[in-house]
Amino acid sequence: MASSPSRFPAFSPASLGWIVILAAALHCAPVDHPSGNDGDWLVIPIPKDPGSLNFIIARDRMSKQVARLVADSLVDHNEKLEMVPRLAASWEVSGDQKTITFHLRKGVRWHDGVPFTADDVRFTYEKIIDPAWGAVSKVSQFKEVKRIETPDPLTVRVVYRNRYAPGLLAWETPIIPRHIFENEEIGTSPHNRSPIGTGPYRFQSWETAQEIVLVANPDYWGVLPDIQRIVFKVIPSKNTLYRSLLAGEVDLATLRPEDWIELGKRPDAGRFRLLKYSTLQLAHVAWNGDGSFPAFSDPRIRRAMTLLIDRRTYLEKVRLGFGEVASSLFPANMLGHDPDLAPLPFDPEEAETLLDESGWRVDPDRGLRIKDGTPFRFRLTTVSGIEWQETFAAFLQESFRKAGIRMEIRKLEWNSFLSTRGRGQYQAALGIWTLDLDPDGAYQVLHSSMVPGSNIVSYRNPEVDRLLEKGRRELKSSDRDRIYREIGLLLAADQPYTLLFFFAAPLAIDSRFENVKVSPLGLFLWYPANLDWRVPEQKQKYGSTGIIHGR
Amino acid sequence: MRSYLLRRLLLLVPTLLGITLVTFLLMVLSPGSPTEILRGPDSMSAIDEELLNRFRAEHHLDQPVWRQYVHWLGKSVRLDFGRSFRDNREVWRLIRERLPYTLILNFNALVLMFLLSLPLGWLSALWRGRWFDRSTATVLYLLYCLPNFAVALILQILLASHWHLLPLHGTSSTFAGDMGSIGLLGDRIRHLLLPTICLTYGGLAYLTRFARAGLLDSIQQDYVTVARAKGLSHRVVLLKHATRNSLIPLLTLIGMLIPALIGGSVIIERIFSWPGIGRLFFTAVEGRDYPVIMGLTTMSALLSLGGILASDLLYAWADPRVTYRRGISP
Repeated sequence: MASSPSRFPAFSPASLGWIVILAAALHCAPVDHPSGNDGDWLVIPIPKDPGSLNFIIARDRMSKQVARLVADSLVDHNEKLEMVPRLAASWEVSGDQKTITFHLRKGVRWHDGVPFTADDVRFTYEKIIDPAWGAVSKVSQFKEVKRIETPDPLTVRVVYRNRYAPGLLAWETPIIPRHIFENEEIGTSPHNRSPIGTGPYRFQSWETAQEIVLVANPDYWGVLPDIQRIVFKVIPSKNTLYRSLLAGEVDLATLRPEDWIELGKRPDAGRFRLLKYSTLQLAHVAWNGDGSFPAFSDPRIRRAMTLLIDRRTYLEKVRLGFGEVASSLFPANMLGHDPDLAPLPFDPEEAETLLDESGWRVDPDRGLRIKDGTPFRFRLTTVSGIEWQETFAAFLQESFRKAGIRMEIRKLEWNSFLSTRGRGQYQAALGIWTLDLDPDGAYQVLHSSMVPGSNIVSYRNPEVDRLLEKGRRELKSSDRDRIYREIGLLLAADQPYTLLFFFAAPLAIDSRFENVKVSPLGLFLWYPANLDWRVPEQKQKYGSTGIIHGR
Repeated sequence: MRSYLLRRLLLLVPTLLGITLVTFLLMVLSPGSPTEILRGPDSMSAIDEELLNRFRAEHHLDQPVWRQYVHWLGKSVRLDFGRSFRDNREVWRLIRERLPYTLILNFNALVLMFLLSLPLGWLSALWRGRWFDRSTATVLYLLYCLPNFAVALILQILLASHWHLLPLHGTSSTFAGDMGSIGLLGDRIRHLLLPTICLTYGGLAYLTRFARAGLLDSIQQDYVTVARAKGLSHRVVLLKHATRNSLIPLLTLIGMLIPALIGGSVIIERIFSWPGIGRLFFTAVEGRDYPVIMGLTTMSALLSLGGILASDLLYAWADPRVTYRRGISP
């Protein structure tokens, strides 16, 4: 009967348990922050880890953000979305417009001291098209490349099969070091998690699901950045992110519109600079034209659907003004932008006339439009848990109901949503695109050869096809601009997708940073972006030892 | 006893096979696909279909479900759980990286739960029906009803944002590397407190009731009457005889506690940016990262089955009245 207490684990002396706890606390590898120079740090929140820091196979936004700090590309774009030189000091296009010659910068070294040469550029290309590397998102940009010549260590000549307008933009791909990867198995290379580049920051550490630390590269070929250390903190929860910004644990955050407005009203609002910028994220409704709901194959109906949506009111009332009604696939600063092309207005009367004309008449008993015995009832597929999709779907439902159209909402978890939509198993779907900088991105979602595939609405218009093909073969900007304007007009008439709005991002950043500029790509995804930021000495928060100065 | 153990161990095999098979089927047959994560959610740029097909072929995703399962099984019996689709690292390495964080959080929560609920339960039993018993029950039930994400938010706002007593989230401060080992330890413990509280309070009601019922049950046993009749004091009888014996039923809880130790909490880990197993699992499900999902499921299935077995064996060892010999026990 007498059993010693130690036989019951839950009853063991508490001190023993605490020793285990302390030991475990120490075991969780401490984050190492050796001293650097003064110049302050920048703490950036990210919602989750990048998948990889091998910049060729990586594809998420987080890795792109790290890539442009650790690595360099041959060319880049500035905040106005214009091309600027980076590792290539200059470049020229041959007379037949099928060859680009890049002249590389002299004296550039990798972070481990090895000189950077044209061989690294060719190696990067070879790995992008190597199926074993699986550079899923990059390979199609390089399909038109016939060969790459490196006549000397500072010259790269890219020969294309055909004239290919988006070709230059593809060279915004980060260049990876040949001497590191040429003898490594790509799947298992340790450098997939500890990259070496030529960029302004060196990789220092990555604690999975916690943080990635970069430190300034004193040997950078360009202007040395003032900010000595950049810490990417993984913060998955939006609520925690907002609290964490208020607590000064992160230096900036993209907030929810309501939090952004609340922040502006706080007594300590002066601690932050509040920015609002129009993004390249375009929300849209895809009307499946493959016949799964026959009405959507008719451009008149799609036009009527667009006319029924009061996008402006939604933006003002629900998004609190954070967004801009979209008129075309080609926003300002981009080729094909047509300032005279206005978005379709909110005009329910015109819409009802169009619906009546096409045979969908209201049955007065049911208050529902009917054609040949088929009621106008369809399902909209959306992603669950995404705030704007939830509110906008409800808004659409109500807008259509008034016109005698019943819409059910089907919410799917995002992975299911993508594969369901990708297989065309939907009638209408809410979606969002992050636009490419080149208007040729439209080829993916509109050309008839992309059915089945990324042309998820099965849109087939021979004239649009012809113009899209012409657009990628034409290198003269003014001609391309005209071509894409024409496409814009055709799309406005056909409405294969209802373009809803470009989102504006509510952003707050610690006011100690100076020289902060935003572009439609945000704070970071252009050049030089945050490389220009500085903090006046008296305002610096983190010093060389990392201790917070009294703030 | 030995034959019993052997029988139980043999039974583990079909149970484990069943669990993994059902998980595998649910996972593969549910909508969504691992290639969607390669495609990216909102990108307009082209994705190379050839490469996607190559990915499918490489990971046997183009084969019938049963062959995929057999392939997985063949590798995992050799303890090879494959590599994550997301970052191509071995599954065991991913688990090993996250496990310490989940273990320390859950271990603390469990210890705290027992330390609080056992005395509360025993006192409630002693003072059954009195104000202490009733008010503890009411308060604990109220706590039990509070959803932990709401409590987490309230605690964050009050303790971290408002009074600056505790850190908001994470496992250590940004500049923790410069604190020295004592400072670092303190920093880490402070970061542990909020998530630990959130994981602890909900379980108190359950365990307290368990402890209370256990003691009430023991007090009514004959041996307690005998002990009192021998002239032992109330105190000795309660502390030495009744409470100890009332702990025996708690052994059955061990079967549940072991898997609870390693199973992370998705919500709490997300709110407190805690890099544990829960978030690993969540990301894996989001991206349909089959090898990681299967690795984690197998691990927790093994631990659950092992836990149940262990608690049954411990029961026999702690309570001589329980035997697992065939036939009628004496």
